[in-house]
Amino acid sequence: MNQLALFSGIFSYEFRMQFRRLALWITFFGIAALLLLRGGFRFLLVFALNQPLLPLVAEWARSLNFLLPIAAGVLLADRLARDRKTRVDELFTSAPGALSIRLAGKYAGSTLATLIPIFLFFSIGAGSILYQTHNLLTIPYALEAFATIILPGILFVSAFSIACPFLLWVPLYQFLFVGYWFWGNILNPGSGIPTLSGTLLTPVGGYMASAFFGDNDQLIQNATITQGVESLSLLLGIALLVMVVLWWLMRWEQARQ
Amino acid sequence: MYLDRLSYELKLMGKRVILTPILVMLGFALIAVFLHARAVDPSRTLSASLEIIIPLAAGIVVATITSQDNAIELQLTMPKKYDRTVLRRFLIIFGWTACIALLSGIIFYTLNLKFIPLSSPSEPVILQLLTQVLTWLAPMLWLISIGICLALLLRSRPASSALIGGIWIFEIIFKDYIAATNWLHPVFLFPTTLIPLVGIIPQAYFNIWLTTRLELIGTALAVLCISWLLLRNPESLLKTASEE
Amino acid sequence: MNIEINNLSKVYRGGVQALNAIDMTIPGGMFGLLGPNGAGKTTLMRILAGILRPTAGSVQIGEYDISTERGRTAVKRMLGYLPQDLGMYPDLSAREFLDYVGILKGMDNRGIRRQRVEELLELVSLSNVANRKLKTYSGGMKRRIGIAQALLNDPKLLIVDEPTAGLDPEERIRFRNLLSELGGDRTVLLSTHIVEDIAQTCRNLAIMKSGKVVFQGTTAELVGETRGKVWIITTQGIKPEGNFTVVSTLNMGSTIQYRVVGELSPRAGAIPVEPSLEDGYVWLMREQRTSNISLIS
Repeated sequence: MNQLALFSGIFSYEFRMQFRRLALWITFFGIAALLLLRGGFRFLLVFALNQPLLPLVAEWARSLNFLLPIAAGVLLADRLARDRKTRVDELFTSAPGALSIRLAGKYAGSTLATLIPIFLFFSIGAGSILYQTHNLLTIPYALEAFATIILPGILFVSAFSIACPFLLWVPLYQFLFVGYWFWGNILNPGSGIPTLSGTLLTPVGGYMASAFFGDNDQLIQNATITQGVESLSLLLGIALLVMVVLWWLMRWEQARQ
Repeated sequence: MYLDRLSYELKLMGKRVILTPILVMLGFALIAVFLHARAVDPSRTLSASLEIIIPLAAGIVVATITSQDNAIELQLTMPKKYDRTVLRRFLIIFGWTACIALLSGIIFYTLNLKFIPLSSPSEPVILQLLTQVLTWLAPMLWLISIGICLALLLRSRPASSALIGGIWIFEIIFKDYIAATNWLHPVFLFPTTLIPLVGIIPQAYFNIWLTTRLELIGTALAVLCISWLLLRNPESLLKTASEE
Repeated sequence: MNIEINNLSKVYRGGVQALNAIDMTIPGGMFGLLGPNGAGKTTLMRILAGILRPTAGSVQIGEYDISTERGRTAVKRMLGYLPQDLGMYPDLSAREFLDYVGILKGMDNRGIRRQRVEELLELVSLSNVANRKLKTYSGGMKRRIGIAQALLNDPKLLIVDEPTAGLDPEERIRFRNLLSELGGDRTVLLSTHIVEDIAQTCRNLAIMKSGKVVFQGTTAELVGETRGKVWIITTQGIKPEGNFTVVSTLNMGSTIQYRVVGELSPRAGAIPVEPSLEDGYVWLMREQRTSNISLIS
């Protein structure tokens, strides 16, 4: 069977299943409403004219990246469990085609579908900046910010959210994931509890924002380009590693049956 | 019969209801030991376990159980009304989690690891314990109520869990904004640990803290009433999130 | 106990009309409900079970009007319900699940309830696996537990949707007979796609299509309407052509036998046969389609 055709078929199926979920849109709208409550847009409109464009766009990307990946992580956690619940996993297992292609299609399709509402909200903010500044450079800066700050974090989170529920009960993973998000991205390292906050492994994208866009925050300041590249590579590399481990575990389980 | 029913409700909800608060507190006990070994005062961390973490866990568990009842169609044909069944489950989860939190709070207090606001240095022990109870009771009741309401509105376990998680993180990140905005005080979940409002504080601040706790409980009860109304619509209860 | 249904309609949110001004009388005893998918059978049964409220019309079950809360609660006390998609609690054992359902049905006396549970476990031949968790049960075993829970409170009204789905032929026959025995002094509404189950157990039936009742009467009446319209045509292999529906095809080796339902002009190799209930159903659906086409044209 043509592997590319198989991949594109599974990708298309997973994309549509995730994209059509009402839960996806309700959740992202709900969390976006929380951001608006905090005055997310008001902030942009008041300060847009007085700040350099590049860090401003990065700050917008980073502020979305504090909350929206929670929705992404929780909503992607049930994709594998859903296959078992709807009994399509039996169908897929009995169909020809490599497990690796199936997983790649599932990962790519469901992640892309989850990225779309994030991209939409990001675009609204970027559009607001463009409107305020009348600077067309906003568009390439925004695309770069999305690709380097938001995308790696979402890919990182998606890999864990698809893979971990293979071993963990889904609501338990969702609870641990929300707790991890606080512990790994927001908890102050000065609290005494060891944390990943402020390290290269934070998916919020602080190092990329600081290194590539000059947008510093409380925890990460004046990062070098090398550090930005390291953080980005680590996030993507770990995402890939997690999917490979998942593939290996699923193959082992199938061989056992 | 009541004991029989209780045992069946617990069993069908699964061990997760029993184990979740216990495991959370055990986990934080270990973190406290670790912090103590590093000469860091664990009081605030332990306060976080009661005020912030256990309510989140309880909220997600309740949302999970409420949004998907395997035998919903059968339940709706029973003479015993389904809204009372859900209320019973809510009371079981809330009651058990509250017991674990209460026991943990007493242990923390006994070990002089308390992290609570006090209006005066000579406040009686029983009042101090009641204050401690209020620190976690209010957010727990609120998050559980929101969990039930979201689960009934959305009929989707991931969506309700994601929104609870989003609200939780929002309350943590934007605590200062919420504290400074009067109309958000009835939904200010974690002031004790996050602001923090602890030790001897001016009476006025203590009154504000107490008021926000009572407002939070009031909001939770209002949300529970909405949930009760949603439970009386069998057509929407039958609608499962088939696209899930 | 009779069930009187008058001008019953149900429109779901989104404008889907599931039931369209149905009038029906369901007498005591076994009553069959047939119809294609989407005909409205499940909606009708859910309204009778008190799960859904009708958009219009009235339903009287015995002395109770189910448009009132009191009426619905009273019906639920004497109701046994087996839905098509029977969800269960996977972490409970069969015994625990039945005991739990018994509590929900208002069987407060523990001793009587548990005795009843044991009787029903024996009846559905699951006594020796009753302590196993439901998640370990096969589809057929779950179906049997579903039947057992429906009978817990000795219901006067039994509504069963696809009760024999997933059962092997012997089990199917056993439960058909069980339902027939129960139908003696109560009302049993049986909805199924297995026409043979209705043929073997029900004297009365209704056929629904697109939210309407297209036939109500006895099985004998439906079969009678089809007399002279069922044929066996034997060919060398070529499918026969004509204005009929092929009900079955039997490959005999050198020839193929087609059982067809329709208006047939006399032809060689076509033998008229006694119709079955399935033939009657097929004939009725044909007539419905023909009348729809003529309405449209």
